[in-house]
Amino acid sequence: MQVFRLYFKLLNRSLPTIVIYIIVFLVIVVGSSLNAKQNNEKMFKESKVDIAFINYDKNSAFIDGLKDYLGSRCNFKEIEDSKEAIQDALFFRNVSYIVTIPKDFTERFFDGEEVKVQKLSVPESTDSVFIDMAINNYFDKVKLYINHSQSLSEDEIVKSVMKDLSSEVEVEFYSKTAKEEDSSFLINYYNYIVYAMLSTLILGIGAIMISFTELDIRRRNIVTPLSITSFNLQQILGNITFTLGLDVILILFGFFLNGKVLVSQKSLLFILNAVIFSIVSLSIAYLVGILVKSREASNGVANVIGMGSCFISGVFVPKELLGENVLNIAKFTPAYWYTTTNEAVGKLTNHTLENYTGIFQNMLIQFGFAISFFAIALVISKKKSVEVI
Amino acid sequence: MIVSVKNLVKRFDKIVAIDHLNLEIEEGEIFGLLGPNGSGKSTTINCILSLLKYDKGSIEIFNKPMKPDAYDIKKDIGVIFQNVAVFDELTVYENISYFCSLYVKDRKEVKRLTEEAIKFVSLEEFTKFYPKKLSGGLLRRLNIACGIAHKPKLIILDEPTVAVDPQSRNKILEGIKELNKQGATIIYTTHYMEEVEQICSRISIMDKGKIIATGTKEELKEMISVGEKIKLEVYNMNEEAVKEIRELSGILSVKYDNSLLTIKSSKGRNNLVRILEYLGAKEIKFSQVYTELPTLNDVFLEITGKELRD
Repeated sequence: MQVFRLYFKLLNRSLPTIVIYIIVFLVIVVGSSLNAKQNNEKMFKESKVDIAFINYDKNSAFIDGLKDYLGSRCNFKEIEDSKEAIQDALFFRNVSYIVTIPKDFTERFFDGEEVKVQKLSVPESTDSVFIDMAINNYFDKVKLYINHSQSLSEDEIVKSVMKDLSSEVEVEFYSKTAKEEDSSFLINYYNYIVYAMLSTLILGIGAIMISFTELDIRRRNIVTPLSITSFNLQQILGNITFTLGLDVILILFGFFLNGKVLVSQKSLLFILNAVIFSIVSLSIAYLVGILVKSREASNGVANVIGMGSCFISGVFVPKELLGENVLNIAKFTPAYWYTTTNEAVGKLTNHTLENYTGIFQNMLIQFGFAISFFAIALVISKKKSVEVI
Repeated sequence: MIVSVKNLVKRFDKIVAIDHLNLEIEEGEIFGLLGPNGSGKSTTINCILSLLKYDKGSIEIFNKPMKPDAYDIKKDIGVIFQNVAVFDELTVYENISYFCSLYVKDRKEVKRLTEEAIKFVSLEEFTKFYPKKLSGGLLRRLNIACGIAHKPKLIILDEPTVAVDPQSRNKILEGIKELNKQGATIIYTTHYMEEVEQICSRISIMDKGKIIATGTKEELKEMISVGEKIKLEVYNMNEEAVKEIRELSGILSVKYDNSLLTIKSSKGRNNLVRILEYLGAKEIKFSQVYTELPTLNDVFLEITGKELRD
């Protein structure tokens, strides 16, 4: 096992750089996880929309009720009642919505006529939908009381409607499975592994392969009584040991940072996916090691592939924010399928074969990448072995 | 027979690098393969070591056919290539130990042999140094230690002294003689004729992929007509005098350039006396006189018509 022992002696020389890469990874992952946690805790905050309320009708309990109801959702802004002022207010986004109550609106509404309030809103504003819904809600409720409680006065109807609208209904979701785990940390952590895995393996294995494939060293190895098969097997064993060692370290860090050791189907799927991705990373590192001729170039390639994959595969930038073209290109990288699998595992609520199918398909695609990279590396390696002199 | 090469032919496309080459190397020899750059020395060595496939011929080492998977033969061969082949990431000790361990299984034995090799190349003070910290000469010594640590029966050195300072070169050459004394058979390729003359017991001269002469250095020099080279510092020599000297008995060639008269004479006595008598009779003044025996370069020149280092 001389070559195997040599493998780790050579790796030792790259260890300081590898440790730096792992530290950078942990800093990024911890930082982004804390950020994600804060975002999750304050994910929904109700905000009030700025609107203007212009009333050409008389002051009635019905109109006051509408104003009060909208007041719980909107901020009223005073604007001048002129066409130009209204247009300016919308253009400069001083208000998002202007409600105008026409003359005799209350009377006609209570008489059962089909009347409408006039509205002006910022084009394509989502706020307008929200206010439309609120206004419709109020009018529907009032209409309901008018139609079914004819003995009630306008004041009583408005009071009842306001009481109804102020009551809230609590909704609780029930799942067929046990309480759904929050997988956001795990998705985040395992996605970031793309960076650590690719950079570290390309750096470590690349440097070792550069040493082993250096022409004079290869010639010296070939003239020894150690068979090429034994030499290659020991080298492969070294690569596998290094990769699995890195897997164990990164997975243990994940458990440590997560604060609990989860041995669930979900976490096992995350681990399985990470192990498969490490095999893909190994194949890329092996190929780079064969192609690249200097350590400096290997470092450069490690950064480009590590960072590049993270940027286009939804690690550093969420997939939702990436353009369609970028995502189409990303589909040709294994990191995309790895992160897609992580997200699918994270969303998994029911552990059924049907749900697993997509996940395993993604894993198979990653395997396909690994086999392709290994095949290319072997062809190049074979070609180079002919050029041993 | 330690090495036997018969009718070896190696082509690179249309270029014939080795042309029906025959070699026989006996046990205990320091065999020199001398030739200018591009003559086919390294190609021959690469074929012998099965690093290159050849087109025709046969190679036997230790009376067994040499093949890429002849591991029982390879375990008794040590190779020192022209370029230093060591791991920059390993110290001097680790490098020697690693290459030795590829030949020797027992760890204690590897340790012992590594220490012996370090002592042999006088690198005791540098065992913890990384190759990049070593000078060119020390690096060459490390390269040699990596090739000989396992005590091989046959050591092949392919131009091991290229770009080495004279002090380190002498140390390397002395080391090779010492290894031979310890029982190793040596094949030494170079284009430095002085090195071959200094250490080799038998020499083959190569040119254009062919062996053009083989023998001891004395035998090779006997093959040529030049017996002596006489050089004189002469002033005011005219063409007529040069012509008359050329016509003297036993004189092969005369050249007069920059006040230096170079005369090659055939084997035999009194050549110098005849020249000096002629110069005295013609009252041609001369100051310094040197005489040289023919070198391997003269042998190469006479056989090929060109200098060894052309």
